[in-house]
Amino acid sequence: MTGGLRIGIDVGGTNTDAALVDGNGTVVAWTKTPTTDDPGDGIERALGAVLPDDRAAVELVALGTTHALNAVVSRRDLGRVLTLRVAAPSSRSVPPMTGWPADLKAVVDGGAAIVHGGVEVDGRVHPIDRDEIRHAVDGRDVSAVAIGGPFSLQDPSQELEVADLVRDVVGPDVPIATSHRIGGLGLLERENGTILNAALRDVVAGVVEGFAAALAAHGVTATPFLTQNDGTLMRLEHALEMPVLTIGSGAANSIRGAAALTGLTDAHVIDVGGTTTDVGVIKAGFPRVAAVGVVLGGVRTNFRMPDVHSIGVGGGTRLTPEVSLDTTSVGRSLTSDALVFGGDIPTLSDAAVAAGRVRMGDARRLDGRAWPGAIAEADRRVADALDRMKTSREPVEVLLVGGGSSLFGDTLPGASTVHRPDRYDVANAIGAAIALVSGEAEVVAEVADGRDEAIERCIDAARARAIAAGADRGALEVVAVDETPLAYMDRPMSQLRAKVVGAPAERPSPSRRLDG
Amino acid sequence: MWQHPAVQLGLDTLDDHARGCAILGTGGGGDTYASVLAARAALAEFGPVDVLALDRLDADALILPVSGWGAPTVGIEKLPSGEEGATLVRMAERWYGRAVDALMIGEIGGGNGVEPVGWAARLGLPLVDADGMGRAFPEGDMASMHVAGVSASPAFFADERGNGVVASPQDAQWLERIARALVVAFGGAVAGADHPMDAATARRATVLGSVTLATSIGAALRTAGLDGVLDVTGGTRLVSGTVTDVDRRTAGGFARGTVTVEGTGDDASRGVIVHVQNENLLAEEAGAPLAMVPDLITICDEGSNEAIPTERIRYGQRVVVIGIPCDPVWRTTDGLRIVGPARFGFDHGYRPIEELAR
Repeated sequence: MTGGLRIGIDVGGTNTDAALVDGNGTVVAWTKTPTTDDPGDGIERALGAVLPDDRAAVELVALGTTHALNAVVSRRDLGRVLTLRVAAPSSRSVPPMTGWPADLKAVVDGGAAIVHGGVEVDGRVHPIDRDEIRHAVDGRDVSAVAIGGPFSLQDPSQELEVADLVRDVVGPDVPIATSHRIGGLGLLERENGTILNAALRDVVAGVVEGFAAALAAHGVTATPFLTQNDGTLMRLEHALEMPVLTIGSGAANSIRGAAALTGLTDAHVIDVGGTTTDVGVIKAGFPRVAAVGVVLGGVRTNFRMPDVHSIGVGGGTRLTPEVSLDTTSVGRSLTSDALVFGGDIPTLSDAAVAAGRVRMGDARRLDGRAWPGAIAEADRRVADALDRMKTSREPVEVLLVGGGSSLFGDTLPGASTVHRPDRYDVANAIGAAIALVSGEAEVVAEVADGRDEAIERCIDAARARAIAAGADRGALEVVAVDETPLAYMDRPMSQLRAKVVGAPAERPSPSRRLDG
Repeated sequence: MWQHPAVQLGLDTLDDHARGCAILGTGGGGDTYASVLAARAALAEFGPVDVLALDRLDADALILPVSGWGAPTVGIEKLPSGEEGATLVRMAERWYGRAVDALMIGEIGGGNGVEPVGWAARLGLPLVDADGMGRAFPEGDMASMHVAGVSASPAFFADERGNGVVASPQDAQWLERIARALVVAFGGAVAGADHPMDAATARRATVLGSVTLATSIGAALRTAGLDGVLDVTGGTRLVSGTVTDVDRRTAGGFARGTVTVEGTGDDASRGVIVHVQNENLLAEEAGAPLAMVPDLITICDEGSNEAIPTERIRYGQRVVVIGIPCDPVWRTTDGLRIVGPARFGFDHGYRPIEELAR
């Protein structure tokens, strides 16, 4: 951190939070406002509530948003995507978008073609037929194009060649997404992520527009960023190309913020909300990524997402007559429906008040009733969720955050220490405010000779992406290099993955194409 | 040639079939995801596949056992064109100068149990209700046809581009060697047909009823959970609990390791160790075996009841480990020589799960 003030804003489904953080990481101001239908209004209001008098002292404003996730889940505002798979004759047995939920496919499907070409694991490249590709694209009325092919992580040149050709046909205004930049090994899941990425272009463009307008309305000239799935930053131009990478940013910001508030870099984070409790993990300062693909809106994908386990336990969870927990929540109506708030629905919050764990509302409205069974069941489920996220039996440090965290006590099975950071209720906005810029690359390479060179190439690709995302090229740090050997190959091959992070550049480097 | 096939595999039963194949995969046999999508697309276009008991076929009917060979990593990038099965059948028909009457699933466990469904649908050929393993095994010589002395030759191989190879392996080891070389030549994956035979031979040389068993296991799983699976298979619940340790290492080209399950509920205070080499091979409690290869050991997710592939086992998962008796062919002297505990480096002499569970 370079010393100036930074603002983080997190737009969630219910609330839009903002936090102003100084150069030492101290939270100077914060706010919690209701999320609005128009993304710009809520951002503008939250920003106004934390802005210092000296606007120029703010050097960076970072926005995390759940808009992309909501768009996929609700099937709203999505673009119509033409999918080109460069693979024929391989893969014809499974056409693009096979297995998608019909309602999502109906909105997003703008046609698909499996054209000749493709890369083999041994490096051979099958030629493309330029006329076939032109014919597949020409005359289609689509808002975006997704391009993918086998082993493009190993050799992306053919996807890029096809992207150039398609751009000649559709013109510069139709966004084109290539799969090697979006996902990992697994053609179908990578292609699915690429299609979603293309479909989300206008959703994120709307957010970026509203964000820019909110900054302008307040006369803020600081560099704007969006946050992404690993809790790091990307420039707005980059976000427009990679909308799908904003989809898990809310959870990632919350995990990073909680860690920053306690100074811990390795811990389990339990975020208790009104409807659900999410357990995530911070490892070496960054959210642990999900080991297996994540299903989004019913579609299997494999781009990197924070590893989060959610259970239906929260402050608004209803109690059953058998004095246990129901599976539904009163959600946003907690402050009117719960007994302690004058309503007539017993909730987990009422049980916690009765148990003396928390004070809220009017305890007299409980008429002396108590629900020890429900409290025990909630404790059991949260301990169980924590245990599912652990990788060994060793007890772990636990950070308890979120509006409902006061429902739980100071000890938890499997936890060595339970920390309750101050300002836990706006941890997500704080996570956005303190975020760094990252770049990641994944390649499949021969490693018999030239293993070091292959790793270096992978790191270079990650570096290029970090700089494109807005990092200061002078201060990049390699935070992870993973190697997974591939089985059954005639020559030793590995899947290599590198990640670098650094502070954001004060003035982002000029826009360039991201073909790394 | 046959009348009124009793069973069909179609869009309505494909998911049950795939779920059953995963259970019979004993942790290996490859992911069924892409195979299910390919089979579904083929069934939607070409209609359901007839599944025939072998005694419904004429004694001289020509049966072609088919399967996919290759690296799982390649299988998830370079997907089949769907024409591989047709290329294999064309080659076999040219070789024999007669029509192939039915396809047979070479290995019912995992994705290999699902992919031939799509090929059969595209070709309009029936599948026989049998396979060569009754489960998944890591190597090509571990087939019931090998035990029965059926020649592996001729063997046919095809890629997704229409390339084909006819081979005459002298035995099952040569089949494995030739197939591996072709996997490399064709870019990491190849479709194969080996041990072709007539129906009379298949009746004594295959694991009978595998396809309908897989489908009924999947249906039982869906409607009655794991108890239903144990009813259908005559299996045993070995332990219910939590995965408390996963130890993985790569040795000799295979993923070896152990999974430790600590009992919960009625099984509290029990601890079971499952030894893995691609497939789950041996379950032990305090050094005493509960079940061992060639009997089937499958680790299922406690919530969904679905089989968990070896590479997806993680600390903290709530699991139920089940054991299922293998086909009698594997309990013969020749069967145990090929796939008994000793073949995988275990010291235990083979004892059937029914005896151990007593």
